[in-house]
Amino acid sequence: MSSEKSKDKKKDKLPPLQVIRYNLFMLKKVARFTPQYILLMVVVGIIGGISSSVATVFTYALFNALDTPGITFGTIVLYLVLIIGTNFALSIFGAWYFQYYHSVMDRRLQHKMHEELFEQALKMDLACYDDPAFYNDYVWAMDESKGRAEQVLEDTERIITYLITLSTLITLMMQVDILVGGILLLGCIINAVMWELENKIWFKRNEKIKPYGRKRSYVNRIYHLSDHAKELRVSSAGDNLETMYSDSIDKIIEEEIKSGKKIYLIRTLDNFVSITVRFLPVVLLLAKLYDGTAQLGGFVASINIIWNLNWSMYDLAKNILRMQDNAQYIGKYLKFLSYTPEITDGPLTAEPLESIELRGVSFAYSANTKNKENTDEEKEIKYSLKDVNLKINQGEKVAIVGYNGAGKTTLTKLIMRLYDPTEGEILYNGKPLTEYKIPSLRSRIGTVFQDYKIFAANIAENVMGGEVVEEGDRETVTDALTKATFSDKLSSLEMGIDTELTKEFSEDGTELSGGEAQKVAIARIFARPYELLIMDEPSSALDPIAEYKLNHTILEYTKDKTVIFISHRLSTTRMADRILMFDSGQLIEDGSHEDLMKKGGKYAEMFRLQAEKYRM
Amino acid sequence: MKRNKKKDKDRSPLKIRRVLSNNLYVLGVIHRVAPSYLPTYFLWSVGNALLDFFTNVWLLREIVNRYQSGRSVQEVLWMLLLLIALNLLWYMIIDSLPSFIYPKYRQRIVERIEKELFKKASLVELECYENPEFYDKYVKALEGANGKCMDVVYTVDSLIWTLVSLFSTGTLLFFIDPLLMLFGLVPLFFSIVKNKFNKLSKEKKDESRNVERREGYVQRTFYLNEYAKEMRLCGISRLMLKKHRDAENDFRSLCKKYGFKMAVFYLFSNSSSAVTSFAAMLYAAFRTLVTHSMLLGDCLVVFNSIDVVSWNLTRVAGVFTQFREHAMYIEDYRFFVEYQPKLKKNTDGPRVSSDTLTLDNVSFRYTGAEKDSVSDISLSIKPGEKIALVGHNGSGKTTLVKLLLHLYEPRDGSITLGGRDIGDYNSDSYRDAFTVVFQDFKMFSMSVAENVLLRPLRDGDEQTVTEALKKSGAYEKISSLDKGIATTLTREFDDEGVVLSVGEAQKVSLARIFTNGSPFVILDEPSSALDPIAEYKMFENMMEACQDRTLIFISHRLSSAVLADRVFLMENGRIIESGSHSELMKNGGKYAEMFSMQAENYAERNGEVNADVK
Repeated sequence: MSSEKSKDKKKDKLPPLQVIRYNLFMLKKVARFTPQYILLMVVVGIIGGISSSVATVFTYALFNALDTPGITFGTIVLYLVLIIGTNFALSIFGAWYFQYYHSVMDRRLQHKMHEELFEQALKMDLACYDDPAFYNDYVWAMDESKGRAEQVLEDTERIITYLITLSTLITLMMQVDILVGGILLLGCIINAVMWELENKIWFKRNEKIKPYGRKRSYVNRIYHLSDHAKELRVSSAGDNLETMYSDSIDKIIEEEIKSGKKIYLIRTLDNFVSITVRFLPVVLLLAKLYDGTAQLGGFVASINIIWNLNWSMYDLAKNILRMQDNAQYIGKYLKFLSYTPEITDGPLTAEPLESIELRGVSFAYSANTKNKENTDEEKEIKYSLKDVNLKINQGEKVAIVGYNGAGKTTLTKLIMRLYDPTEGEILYNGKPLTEYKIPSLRSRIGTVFQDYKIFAANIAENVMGGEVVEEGDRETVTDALTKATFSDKLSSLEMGIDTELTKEFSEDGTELSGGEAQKVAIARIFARPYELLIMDEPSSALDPIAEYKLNHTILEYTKDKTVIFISHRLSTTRMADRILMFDSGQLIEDGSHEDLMKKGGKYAEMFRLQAEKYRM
Repeated sequence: MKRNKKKDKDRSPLKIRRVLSNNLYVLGVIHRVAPSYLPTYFLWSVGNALLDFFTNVWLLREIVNRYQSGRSVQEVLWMLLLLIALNLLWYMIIDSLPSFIYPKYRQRIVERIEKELFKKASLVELECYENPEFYDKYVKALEGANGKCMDVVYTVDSLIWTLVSLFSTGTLLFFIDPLLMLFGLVPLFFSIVKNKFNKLSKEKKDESRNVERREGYVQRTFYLNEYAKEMRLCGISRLMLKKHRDAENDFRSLCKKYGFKMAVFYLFSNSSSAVTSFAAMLYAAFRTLVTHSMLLGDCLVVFNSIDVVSWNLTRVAGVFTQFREHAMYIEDYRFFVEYQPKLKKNTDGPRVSSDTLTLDNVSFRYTGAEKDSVSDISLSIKPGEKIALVGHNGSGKTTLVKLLLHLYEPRDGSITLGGRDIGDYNSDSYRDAFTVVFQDFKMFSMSVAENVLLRPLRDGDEQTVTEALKKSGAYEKISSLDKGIATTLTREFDDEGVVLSVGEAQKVSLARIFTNGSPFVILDEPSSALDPIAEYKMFENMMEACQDRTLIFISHRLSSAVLADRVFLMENGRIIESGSHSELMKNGGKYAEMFSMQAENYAERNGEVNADVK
């Protein structure tokens, strides 16, 4: 793992053995997901090789025959029929294989691979998303997995075909003239080396260009998306972007010319070798022909083979080089698959909630990212939470308040075990969170995040967080939506809770406004029998009246539940039993609204600031 | 989806003339950017194709024929040497020249094409973004443009290559035996089958687009950060997996639907050309062996090249399909580049100075919407006034602001500044007169300073930006960053870029109002992501900075409306109440009701707080 990482940093090419190993790994994977497909692929490769070898041998025989006295026209016809016949038989197979089977199996393979990646993605710690290097590789692996396995398959198939063809061709030439055969073989080897050299230059060039390419596509995207459209119109930001764009183009050109010169030299050499390999045998064979040691038919047949050989070589080289690319990808893919999450299940099943307690909990985002040794060398670690101690008992209504960046949201993420604390521990019913099975914990704690997401599914599925099959579920959904004060909107929707949300899947999908979407998100926590509800800024997108209504309903329906409100709007939070005031990651005040007001500390100051503006 | 399909059907194929004109249009653009690119490139292709012909077809024929007719070894050798020399000259000097000569041309061409789009994109009225049909075309143009434009060049290149090869081989075959041309032409008749096949595969591809779209979405939910929390915390991931599987099943039925037909057509078109070549070979072998009327070298040409003719002929057809395809994309590109924005950029109008903004019976409706978003609004704002726009979600506040900014053209009524229609002013000057911070402000992947100013940096900006950040409350955070205001925001392409929290980002955006003295300042929910203290300080600074500037702000939180000289309460696109805060409170209307509801939460039961404050 670590050696791989350092390699990634330097962006070197992989050694040949590694390339082979990675490609084999992928083949094994394919063999597991779609055994019939890979079997057929090998067969196709071999058939391809044999058929082109047979065709070559027949053509060779045919040209030989053309010049041999005494051969009848019938023999020629026979040869031709054999060539065409094999061809046709293969076409029948090919038609079925390429037009139907291939596309079905290809899709199945893609899906199986994706599903494996999906499962892995769910296991991945949230902290990985904060590590850009890891995340970039991950997104890349996802993007590329589409078609990459197929690429490996196709390349393997072709390589099998070309290897069989090439070895037949060279063996045949060896029989005809050992010297010519030798030259061809040597030519193959030199060409392969040259290709490898050229490929290295391309690889380096692409690495150098990549960052500029990213800038360019960024600018492009800015102009695509409506996100920035307004800003571009009301400011001169477009000028900055265009400069950024032009600078990138300049850099790309510079790099391309630099590498282009090297490529020119190598290709010139390469071409010299190719020309030699092509024409030297012609000269040699021509000499034999004029010597009388060879027949005209044999001469023609041989030249034909040499011409063919050049093509097969070229194609083989292309495929072998692509194995390199494949391996680069598979390396990252493996890295992702072999990633073991740090947040793992414990043995216990969570019982109904009695209390949640934090003991000396500190948390820093950067401390949990994978390559802290590289990024955070001498930088001091910034704590989002610092030495927090608190206990929340069943049934309490607690509000967590504080300025932006006080660590309020982080706390939620720790309780949900999306992250584990850097220091200290969190106890659920007196036992550390890490000792429980994660799903059992998460089935007891419901959360609405500030940055909740609506999925492209119908309302019911969005609320239930999964498929809705039972009739009872439908009632639950309607009920939950009512509690979230969504019923007015719901009754205006023709399809009710079956209304498809977002336009991802169908143009008829409904797009909810920010406030409505937030209500649907809130309904999620009412739809399940959660015992602890965490609301992270649940009403930020709502207008004052809606916010007011919602806050009251939430309290009404959560009488016997434990609720944690997170907000910086103190109007929402004063109805809580207990208020926890956070500042720069530390818990600085803890008590009821009245207590804290009396105390006259930070909370009181904050409250007054807000209240003052409403004084009439 | 339904609409998409309909759109595709509506889209009749382009007329031949339009196909031609579109492709020529792009070639013209390319030629203007890099005049020496096209001629040299095409010359290079001709050379390449000719050399290919002489080496692969002509040489062997000449050797064999000459040998057979008993010519001397010297003559054959000279010919061979000549060709070797030509090959060396071409392949060692000319062939690879494009690798370092062309990058410059190609990149410049792409640059020109894309910049043309950027320029247009920033002029097109904002409404276009809300019109899905237009937006669709626009995105297609942007995405496809540079690739497709270069593809035109490559297609022309392949056309040249094909034609040269067809012409040279064809001529040779014709001289060998004119009858052979027939064999070359037969496969053309089978191109109907080929067309049918292409049509089928296009249909299949079109239908599978829906499958791909669904797959793509599911993929995104699994790998994008924004979905990560929900995917882990609830069972929605199972549902997404199910949707993924459904997509696969749909694809399989699609394969079943098209597979058999396609296989048959494929087989038919493949074997037709095989059979014709077979016949041609038989004919040549017959003449060589039985009637002895053909030299072996000629027979060889037939064997090796009869395929080439038919293959190249189908390729020519293929090339035209490609041109047609390019033309479709170019159509989008041209539509976009040639589109005349409804809101014309005014370059010679007078410059803007601080004056009274007046709306006279202004109405506006989004394309396709059923009712007006802004309906019959008349108001006037004097220079230096502080205006608060309040109201529920969707009451038309943001639309009103966009109209003021001339991002939309009103449907009815007029907007004037100092008695002159706002469209009559110089557009750039009108734009510069307003400093705007939107609710859904976005950070650009540029330095903090550039994000604040949203224009290229000039000398002395550092001071301005630092001051502004201090006033908006973002300075503390920004100065703690290693590179200070030069820090790149977002990690789009700079791995050391900084991702600000929503609150901090908002403060950075708000800093903009302190960087200049523009006569108008517009803020859409300026403090939604700020905590109370930050909000309070920001408002104080803002009021000071805007002392003699016109300020219009939108807010949910009525507490800030108190600070305004006048408050407009909007509902369903209309202004239902207006006046100062105290007037509206006295009126006891909707505004008063809303305000009390919010204030209630802050009111102290025993008044202790009120007593303490001040």
